[in-house]
Amino acid sequence: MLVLQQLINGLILGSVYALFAIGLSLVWGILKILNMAHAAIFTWGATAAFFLLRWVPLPLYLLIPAMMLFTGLLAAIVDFLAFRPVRRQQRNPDDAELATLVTSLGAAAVLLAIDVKVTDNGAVLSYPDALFTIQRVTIAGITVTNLQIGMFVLAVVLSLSAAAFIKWNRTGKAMRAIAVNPDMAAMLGVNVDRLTIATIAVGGALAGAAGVLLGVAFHAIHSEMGEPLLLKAFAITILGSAGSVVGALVGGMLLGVIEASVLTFASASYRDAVSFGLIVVVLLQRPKGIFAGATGERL
Amino acid sequence: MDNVLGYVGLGAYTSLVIFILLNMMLAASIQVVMASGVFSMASVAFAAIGAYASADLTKYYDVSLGVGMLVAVAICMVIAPIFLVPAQRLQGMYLALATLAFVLVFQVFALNAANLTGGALGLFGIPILTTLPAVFLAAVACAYLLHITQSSRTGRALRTMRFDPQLATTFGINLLRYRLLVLELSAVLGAVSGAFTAHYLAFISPNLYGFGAVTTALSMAIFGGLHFWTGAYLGAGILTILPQLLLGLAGWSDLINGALIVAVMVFQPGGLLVGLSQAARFVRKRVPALAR
Repeated sequence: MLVLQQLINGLILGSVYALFAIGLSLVWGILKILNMAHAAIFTWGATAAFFLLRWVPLPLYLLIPAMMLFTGLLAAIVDFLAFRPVRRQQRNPDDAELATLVTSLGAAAVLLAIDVKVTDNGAVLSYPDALFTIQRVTIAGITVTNLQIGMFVLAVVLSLSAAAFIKWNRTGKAMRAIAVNPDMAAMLGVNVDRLTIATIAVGGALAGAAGVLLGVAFHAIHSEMGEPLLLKAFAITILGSAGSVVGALVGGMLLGVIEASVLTFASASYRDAVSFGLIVVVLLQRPKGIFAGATGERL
Repeated sequence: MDNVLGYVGLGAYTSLVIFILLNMMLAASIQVVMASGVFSMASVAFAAIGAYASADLTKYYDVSLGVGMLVAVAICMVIAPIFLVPAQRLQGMYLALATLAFVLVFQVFALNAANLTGGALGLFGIPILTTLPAVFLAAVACAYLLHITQSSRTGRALRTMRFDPQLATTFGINLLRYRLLVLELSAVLGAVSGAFTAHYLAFISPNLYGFGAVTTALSMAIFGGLHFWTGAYLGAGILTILPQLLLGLAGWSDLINGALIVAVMVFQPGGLLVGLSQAARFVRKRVPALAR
């Protein structure tokens, strides 16, 4: 039973990993940007929620949308100020990929430096206990908290709606067109700049939701919280194919479950090696990921 | 000998200069592969392996710096061909992530193999053997090695390989051979830089060789300009000095550092080196005395 309990915990945690990873995966798959600032945006979501709560005691169900709005906007600003000018300058896609990668590292450094400043040099904060009362529910010997259920449902609903949007909505279809060939999409009347910002904003919003959720779940917000998640998101993106939202969701849950199994059956010290090992194995055996399809060429 | 800068009244800068030289070699270790289209981040793993190998040998077996360094380089050169497996199959960011994953797996290994690496606490009491002249000579030797590789027939082959691997193949460029060459070169540079670092800090821990180290080295290489080794040296120089200059602005140095990286990438995505050569061309055009 303990094993099953651990796996369920892993699955739920994995769904929040997925929420974070979707932004990275979308931006990578559609815009060919490996956005290192994604983790900083996530951290800003968690930190900003802390300060917002000091000011107005919002309930969690209002806090999350507010933070999604905030981080979505923040991500759009990062794109506008940093990525877009680089994209404009660089014609060769390989060079542009590298230049935006380093730009995003710079942007991440700026955002994190500010985060460290406002949180008293990177102190560990936590939300007030009144934000959410945790209750335990036991179903067939498995104990889950209402927070875990909420996290799981929210993560799944948000990811699936993002997936549905990209699959069926006109704007979503245009996004996929950009993934295949941005120049052709532009010729066919797609406003590439606007959709690029929209894609990054959607990813940022999902990261903000993940930030608040993990901040509540771990009782801790600090400026370093994003980095391990970024590394996990790399693994999830590779596992679930860049650009595929459903892939990221399944990949995230899979990673959560695998990590939980390693934690249960092996040792905690090797848990972090799992996501890195997964990257190597998947890239060598199935480089397009498990959910290849949806978006254009990947290698 | 150790206090070379001391004779000219710059003794206080010895440590900074050593770090600049060490970072130059590490950044060049990334540049040499990236400039050939092999997006390998393995340099940081090479630096870590070099550091631990040389530190263990000198600490526990009392060998000299030279021997420790040679063994460190040899180990990395033996490991380097492993990266041909992903390098032959993957391109771009995918290769970067696969090699990054290797770096991080090695970090976890270093955290757990406590009898070799001291685990999370790190390895203490490494003999301090790094001197400024030694590092300087090594950096110059590496520069020479990089120069003959990159400004020669080989260098043109490598650039073609980055520009278009298929085209390179049709020109009779053996991709496997050249990829092996740059990986080995990257291994040597990484190992030398890592071993010197260990013998300078007298203490190393797995924290030094994680994601942060990868992003720092990568920023240095790309910031300076990837297309030639001088870019890596330039980027490493500037990005090592800059935080020192900003030290007075406690806490804001990271912000300014990051903002500067963004600014250079926005205005000069090819790196600083491209900007400098454009500026030189501009000056040459405007100043008749310099026109050739």
